[in-house]
Amino acid sequence: MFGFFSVFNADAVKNVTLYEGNFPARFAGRLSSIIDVRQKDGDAYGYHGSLTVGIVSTKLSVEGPIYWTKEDWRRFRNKEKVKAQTTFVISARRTLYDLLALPVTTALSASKSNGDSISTGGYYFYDVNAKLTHTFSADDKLSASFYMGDDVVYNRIRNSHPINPKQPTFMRMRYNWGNIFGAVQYEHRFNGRLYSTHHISCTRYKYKLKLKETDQFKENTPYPTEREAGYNSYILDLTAQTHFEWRPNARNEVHFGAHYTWHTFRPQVGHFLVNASVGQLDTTISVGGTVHTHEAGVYLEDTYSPCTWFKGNAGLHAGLYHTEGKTYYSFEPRVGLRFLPHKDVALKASYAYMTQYVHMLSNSSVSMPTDLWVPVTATVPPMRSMQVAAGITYNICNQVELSVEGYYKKMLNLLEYKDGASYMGGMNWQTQVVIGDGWSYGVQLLAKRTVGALTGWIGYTWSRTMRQFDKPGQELNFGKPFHAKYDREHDLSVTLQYKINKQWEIAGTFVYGTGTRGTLPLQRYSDWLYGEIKQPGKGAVTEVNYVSERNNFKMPDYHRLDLSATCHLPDKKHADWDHILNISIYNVYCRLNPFLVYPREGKLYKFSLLPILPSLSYTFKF
Amino acid sequence: MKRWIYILLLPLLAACESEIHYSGEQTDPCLVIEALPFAGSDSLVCYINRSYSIVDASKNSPEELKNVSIDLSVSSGDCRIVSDSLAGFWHHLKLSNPLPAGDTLRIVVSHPGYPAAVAEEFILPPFEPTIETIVKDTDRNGHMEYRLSVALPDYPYPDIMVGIHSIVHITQTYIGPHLDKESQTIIGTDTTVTKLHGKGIYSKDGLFALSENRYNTYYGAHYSTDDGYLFFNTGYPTGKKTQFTLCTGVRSKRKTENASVTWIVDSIVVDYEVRSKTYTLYRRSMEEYISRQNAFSYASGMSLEEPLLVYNNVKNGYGILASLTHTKIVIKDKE
Repeated sequence: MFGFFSVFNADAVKNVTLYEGNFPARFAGRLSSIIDVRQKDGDAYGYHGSLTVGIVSTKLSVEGPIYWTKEDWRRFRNKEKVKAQTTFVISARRTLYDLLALPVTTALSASKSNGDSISTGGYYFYDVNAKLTHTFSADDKLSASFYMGDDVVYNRIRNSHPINPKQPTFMRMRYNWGNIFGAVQYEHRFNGRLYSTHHISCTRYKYKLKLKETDQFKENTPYPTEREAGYNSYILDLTAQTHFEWRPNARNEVHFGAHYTWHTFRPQVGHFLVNASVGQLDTTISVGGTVHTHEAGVYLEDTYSPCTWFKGNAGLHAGLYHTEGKTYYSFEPRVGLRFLPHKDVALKASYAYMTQYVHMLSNSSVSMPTDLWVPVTATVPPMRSMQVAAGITYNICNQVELSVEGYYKKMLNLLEYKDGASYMGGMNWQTQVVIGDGWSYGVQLLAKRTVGALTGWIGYTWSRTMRQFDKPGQELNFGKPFHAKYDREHDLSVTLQYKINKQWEIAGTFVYGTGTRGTLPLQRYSDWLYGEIKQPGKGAVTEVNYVSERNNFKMPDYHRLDLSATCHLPDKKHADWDHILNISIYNVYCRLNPFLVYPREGKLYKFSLLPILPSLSYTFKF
Repeated sequence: MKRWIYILLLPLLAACESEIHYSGEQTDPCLVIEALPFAGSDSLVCYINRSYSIVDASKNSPEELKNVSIDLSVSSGDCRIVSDSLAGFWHHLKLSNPLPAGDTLRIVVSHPGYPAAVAEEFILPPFEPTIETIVKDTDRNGHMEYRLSVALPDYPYPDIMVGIHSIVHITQTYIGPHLDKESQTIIGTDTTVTKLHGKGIYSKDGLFALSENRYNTYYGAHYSTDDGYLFFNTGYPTGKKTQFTLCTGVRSKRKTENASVTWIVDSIVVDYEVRSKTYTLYRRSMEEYISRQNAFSYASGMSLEEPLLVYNNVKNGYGILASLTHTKIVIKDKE
């Protein structure tokens, strides 16, 4: 939710590991950094949970044991410590801001425009995490996990018609995206040196966009009174994976395994409706149909630590991807080295070759934030990248850790829409794209403190991300390099928490980022020459909305400050109960960060979703 | 309680639309220059206009663009504007000397309210191939066709596109029965003379690009569309010989029991067009822009297409100064 909430529900998560470089060979399939999220198993001894009720959101989390015998239940009720073989965790949350704010935003929008234009919009999301774990023995464990989540953005604009106010025009937009995930995992320990994990999973991602405009004033004219366009796509993955971890000796930790995924892509289903007094057009187009692909891979990696001052990780991931009668192969070496010349200083270097078998297509127009996931096909090859990174970390008295890291990444076979392409048109997306290259480089500075009353981090990244599409027939921007859509030169985040005492804790977060890029015509002029070439002497002109280059427009910078204060109130009767009051202010100085940008009537407008947002919540923990 | 909730929510304001004052590049209107110079011409039509800001209308001047100053020069020769006859936005420039082939033309347009716009373009020299042989033949349908063997000249200018187009001028003479309109009976003999054009041209030697033509499975060759050109592949084949076949689409004669038709080729016009890279990029981008401009917007009314880029080579301004040559060779049938 634009930084207000974490993507991951902390109540359901055991730990999170971020890999920005030195990617282990067991991770493959993406060019980006890796986040490894481990879910909680649930408390085997007692029931715990939390209920949070607030102005902005509400969430519930419960975990605990499941006892299968009456004897275990009896002992548990007698307050004995009984370890259950089966545990569960369920967490759910939903934002409430849009429901509560709707009448207020409607009234304020109307008052600003004297009732001529009423603009309302909102955003909400919800997610559910669940996990059931059964421990057969110290060596065997079986678990089943489930996740479901959806994000929804909507906007509605009502404009009074200048001639007949009783026939307003409406524009509506609804945009939602979400995932459903289910998995079954079996863990087995062969002995003290060899472990294995096997899982099967199913995940479905769905994305839907719908736009509608109605204009009652155009009744009894040839012009449309209603226009609607909808678009949806989905990806379904069925995965089977087996992983082994082997420690032959104290110096080596070996990981090896294999995976297989059956992908189903349905990237383009468009729906168009045009209603006019002269007739109606209503059509649904599934362009490109459904594409099934197969992805498989094996990997082997070893982390070698012969002494305290050196650690190396080397691995290889070999994979294949089969689609539409064509098979792509990948061999991805990974190397990571760490030296400790001094107990407080660490030097790191890494190299990684990665392959990605799914492309994300982004519309470069700044009027709509739309990303579409499409598969690698017989004509669209997989993306490949080579990344080198090096850095130094300095530990100050085990209190503060400073690090500097630089990286360079070269990317091949990137996909972009052609100029003029419309992903909602009735054409197969493969005919609407071109293939090119890109590169990215940057430096990251990080200072973090994890001990003491004051904890947190300050991170700054300077980076550049460029693209170039200059192959014959695949040109964009006339073959010249251009900024990537997500080229954000500066990125700063400061997160600090201060524990005043056992009861009170305050925290603040400040984020700043250069605006992302998009393509926006800024000037308009009349072109005469083309008309003269086609019809000499007629003086025909063409109005040109001029764009200097792709992604020429930099959105306004994004920044905001969030503050919060938390008060823990222990329960007087129950020692393990906790009452937590939290007051927070999201976007303290009410920065209107843009979600959409669009020109209208000679001016430039932005649509923002979350201005200053005070929040009060009460959490009951047991 | 409700009051307090709404007071807490008031700062949410209309979490929606607000104006942006964009101060980045290209916010100020600029001058527009468009011209298409030809080597050897002592006049030039120059279209001068200005642009309008889409995102800040306050910067758009409502006054007419007047008192524009145009400065023209060439890299090696003496060529300057002798007179400027203005008709609306079009400046009909009379030059002191013909535009020299192979020179770089520079046009600077100035106006007090705008930055000076500068455009430069290399003036393509004439393209003069040599038609070595013309063989008259018939195709498998018995239609007349002409096979031209052409020696391509040395033309060492990078990134050019060379295209060929032809028109075959034919006189058709029909002699046959003249029918009464009402009774449909033969009441005499009719002689009708009609002028026709044949526009087909194709090549089998593989030197042609597919930029403006189609592949004909019947002939096993690339051929031009009705008024288009066949273009050479990338990499102009300097000094090579190439063969074209011009289609007429008619036989030399046709006779039935009561009528006869004869076709006589009066002349063949072979038109070579050489486009600079600037011209090619401009024309392709404009064609794409115009063909897609309204293709979807009307149906959906929403801006969901990728914006289209129109090629521009004017510094501090917009528009195009592009170079083009035309060479027409007229061949009489008896030749």
